[in-house]
Amino acid sequence: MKKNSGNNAANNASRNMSKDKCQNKDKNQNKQIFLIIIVIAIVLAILAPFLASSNPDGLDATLLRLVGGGDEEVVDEMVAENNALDYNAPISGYSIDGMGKAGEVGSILGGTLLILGLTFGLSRIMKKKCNCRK
Amino acid sequence: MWQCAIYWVIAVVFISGSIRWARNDLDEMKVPLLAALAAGIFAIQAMNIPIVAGASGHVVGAVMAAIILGSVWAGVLLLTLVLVVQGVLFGDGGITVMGANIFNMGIISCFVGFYTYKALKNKLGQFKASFIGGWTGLFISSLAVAVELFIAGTIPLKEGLMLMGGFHVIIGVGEGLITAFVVRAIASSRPDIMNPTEEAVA
Repeated sequence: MKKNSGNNAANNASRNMSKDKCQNKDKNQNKQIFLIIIVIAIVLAILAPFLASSNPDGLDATLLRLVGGGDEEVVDEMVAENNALDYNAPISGYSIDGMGKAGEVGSILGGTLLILGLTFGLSRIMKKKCNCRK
Repeated sequence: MWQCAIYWVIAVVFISGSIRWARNDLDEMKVPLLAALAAGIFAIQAMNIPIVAGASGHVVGAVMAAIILGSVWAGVLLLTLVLVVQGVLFGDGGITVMGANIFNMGIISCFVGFYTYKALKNKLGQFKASFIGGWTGLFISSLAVAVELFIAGTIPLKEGLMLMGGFHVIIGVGEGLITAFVVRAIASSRPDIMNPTEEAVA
């Protein structure tokens, strides 16, 4: 099942061409777009603890009205009751005790870099074997 | 809870689909892009923006990833990785319900949004189709969550649909706009990455 493989000739041609050239030029351009996205991600991660709204998100707000009657504790309790697995995340709620905003910045930034490394590593392992790899 | 188990089973089936995609289709060019998008999606999900009535929303990014990488499976894979890190490391979403989260934000959002985009791309152009794809993916998955919560006996159906739908109609506008602008930016700078169509230059 290859839903996405190039369904027009132009696309196939450009793919094959880039493979033939062993992607040296593509790699540089890729690096650029890679870096731009990473920089945006890092900026977002640093700003998020200061700019992000502390209002409940759409789902929490819905639960708050329909279940908690406006009381967050009721919702929290209900969630805890239904949680079959008693699991405590190491950095719960994106904050580190006693570190305030710095802890939040650190945990979101750390998470961003972790997911970057994790995805990069996993996808390198999973990816198809490229013809032009030495 | 047996319902959580069902969502996990569905999630695992689709995750294995996304791994198959990676094996067949993920090449040297797409690896860094996939990783960068995962980091970007993780960061952007931390950015809650106030909307109405004391509620906030954030971009999910599932449809964006699927459109940019040209496959619905890419979105499923990315959202799975992001949700696993959020749940395991930060306690955001929990482990039991992670299957349901992957089902909603990864699977429903990606499939609905990506195929909406594909259906509209040739008629409306890439920019508008991305906006509608992003909006639809988010909105439909929010309704799915309301139905799931109803099945689980947590909330009444009608009010749940109204509230979830109401909030996400608005959050979806943000999702759609970000999806459309990011897709346009990447399509114009690197048309070769995104499986392009001739008339898609919006």
